[in-house]
Amino acid sequence: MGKNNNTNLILEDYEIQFSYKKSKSNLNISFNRVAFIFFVFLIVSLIFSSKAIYLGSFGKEGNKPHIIKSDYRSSIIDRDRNILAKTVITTNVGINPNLVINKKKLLINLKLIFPNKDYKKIEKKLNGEKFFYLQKRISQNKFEELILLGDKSIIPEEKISRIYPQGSLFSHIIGQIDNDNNGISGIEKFYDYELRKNDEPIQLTVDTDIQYLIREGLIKSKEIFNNLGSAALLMNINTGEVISLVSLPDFDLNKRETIDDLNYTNKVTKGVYELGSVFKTLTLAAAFENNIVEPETFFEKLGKKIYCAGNVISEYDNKLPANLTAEQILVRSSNIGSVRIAQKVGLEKYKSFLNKLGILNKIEFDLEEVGQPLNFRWGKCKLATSSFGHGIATTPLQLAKAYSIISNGGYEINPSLIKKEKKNIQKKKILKNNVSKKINPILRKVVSTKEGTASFANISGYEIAGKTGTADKVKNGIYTKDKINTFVSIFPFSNPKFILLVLLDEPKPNKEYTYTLSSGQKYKGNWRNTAGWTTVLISGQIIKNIGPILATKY
Amino acid sequence: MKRIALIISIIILILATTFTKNSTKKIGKEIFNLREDIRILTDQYELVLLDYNFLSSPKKLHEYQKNFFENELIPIDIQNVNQIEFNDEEVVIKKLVESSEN
Repeated sequence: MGKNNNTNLILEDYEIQFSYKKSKSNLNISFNRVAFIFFVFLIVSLIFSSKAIYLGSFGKEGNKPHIIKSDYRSSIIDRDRNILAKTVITTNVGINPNLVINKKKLLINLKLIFPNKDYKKIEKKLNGEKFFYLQKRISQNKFEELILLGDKSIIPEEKISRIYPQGSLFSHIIGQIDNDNNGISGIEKFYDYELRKNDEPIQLTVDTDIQYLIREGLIKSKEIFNNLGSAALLMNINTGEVISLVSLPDFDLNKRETIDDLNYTNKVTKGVYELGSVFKTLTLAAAFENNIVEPETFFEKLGKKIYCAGNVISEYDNKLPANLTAEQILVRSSNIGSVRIAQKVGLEKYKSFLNKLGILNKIEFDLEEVGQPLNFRWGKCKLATSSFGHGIATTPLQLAKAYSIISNGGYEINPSLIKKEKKNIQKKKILKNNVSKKINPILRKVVSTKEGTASFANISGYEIAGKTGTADKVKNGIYTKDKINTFVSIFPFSNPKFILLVLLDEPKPNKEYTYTLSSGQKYKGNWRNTAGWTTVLISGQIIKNIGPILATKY
Repeated sequence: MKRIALIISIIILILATTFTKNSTKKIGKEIFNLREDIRILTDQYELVLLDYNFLSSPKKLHEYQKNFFENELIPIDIQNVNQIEFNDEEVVIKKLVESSEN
């Protein structure tokens, strides 16, 4: 029995042990808990790891939020990363007359620091009660001297200022901003959003050294020909990069003046002019593009005058022979010859060609100040006059673009002031290959031959090709005796890279000036007020000055 | 066995998390300081560059040339500029532009 009891007890023990199942299920619960804790730590670990990855990716572009800041404006730099415009913090110093303890002592001290100020006015203001500015954009030295006076009435104020270290050199390109930091003209206006948003500066294609030399050349033109204004554009004919854009008169950006005078218009991009004989190149190119004439095609009995709708179209030089080849028509700048070529091309083809070159419509450019070519009704007479650049008006920028396309092998270009990576530039051929091959040697002859109209630009070593244009200036819709003289040059002729367009607004002939040809032959100035005697000379001098930089740097 | 593995995993995770947290905090601080240093140095550099651009602007250089080096600095005739080319072991000197043709 006792054994049996013992056995039973054991069985009971087993029963107790059997309840071990229960505790096994307890273990299951604790496993879930541990797994839960594991999961929590895993999540925390993942969060910190992701933070570590985030910190590791610092410095990569695109992570920073783009916030437009009211007091911020990024810099504008040239192609060599020279600063053209920069926002800096400057200090303005003012005086609160209510806090002045000893006016006499303060005035004596101020006279020592700023000896050139009008102290009668300052004394008057000191006797008043209103705060007034003593000196804006004060230099660090003067500011320290003022602070050392220890006068409580002297109150410094930090302000944001836009500084233009090149003064007026890029005034027509960069443009101005208003007091609220908004761009109101030029790049400052066109890229206002980008300048406020981007931390990186905006890099332009312009070259400061070349811009300076071209501007100096134009200033010299005023000394020689007393012109009202002038303009020049230097561009890479293969990429459309504008290396220099000058329009005179210009203005000092640091002075923040209000410009109302129309003479301060950007003549390259906004000025719409009849540009004269420079259009003859486009007429001949249109004929080459349509395979209508060849350089050797002969034009007979050109005559000295033709009539169209009662108006006379005459030759500028009565000594021109009556029979000329297409090439000679351009070299000798024959009006009647150009009319005959245009008539052969026909109205529709000529119009279509000018459209292809972007002459007739408003150009897309990196500035707000872009002119709209004048609209007119096409007809037979308009075709005749347009062929030699009369009665058709466009901007010098568009003319430079057209010449670039004609000379670069027929590839479309879009003039630009913003530096782009080379890989982004795609070439699109819009003219037949033979146009450049035929036109460029003729343009070279305009400069290099005796019969050509641009001999003064035949500078040794530069292989300049080009075409002159002398046009009567239109004022209030009426032709005047004042001239717009233009010279478009392409160089070097053997491998064209650059186009330089120079325009003189209302030059006057200089009879006292001595012209020198590259051969050393000298000519005295005369009554002739043509591009050949004015703009060509200036262009030649400019190319001679900028040539070494272009040849070695580009 | 499972239990031990889990506990070890948790300990490792705790240690890793602590280490990562401290590291990220430290790195974050360092990055912040570096960025501040870079910002200050960039500002200083740009101000110096502004001064440099102003003082070495073509207008100023022209003035210096007129005032101090009028007879020493003269324009170069492009036809006198030579170009040096290094072809393997050969050095070729040739004119930058060939003399003008008509």
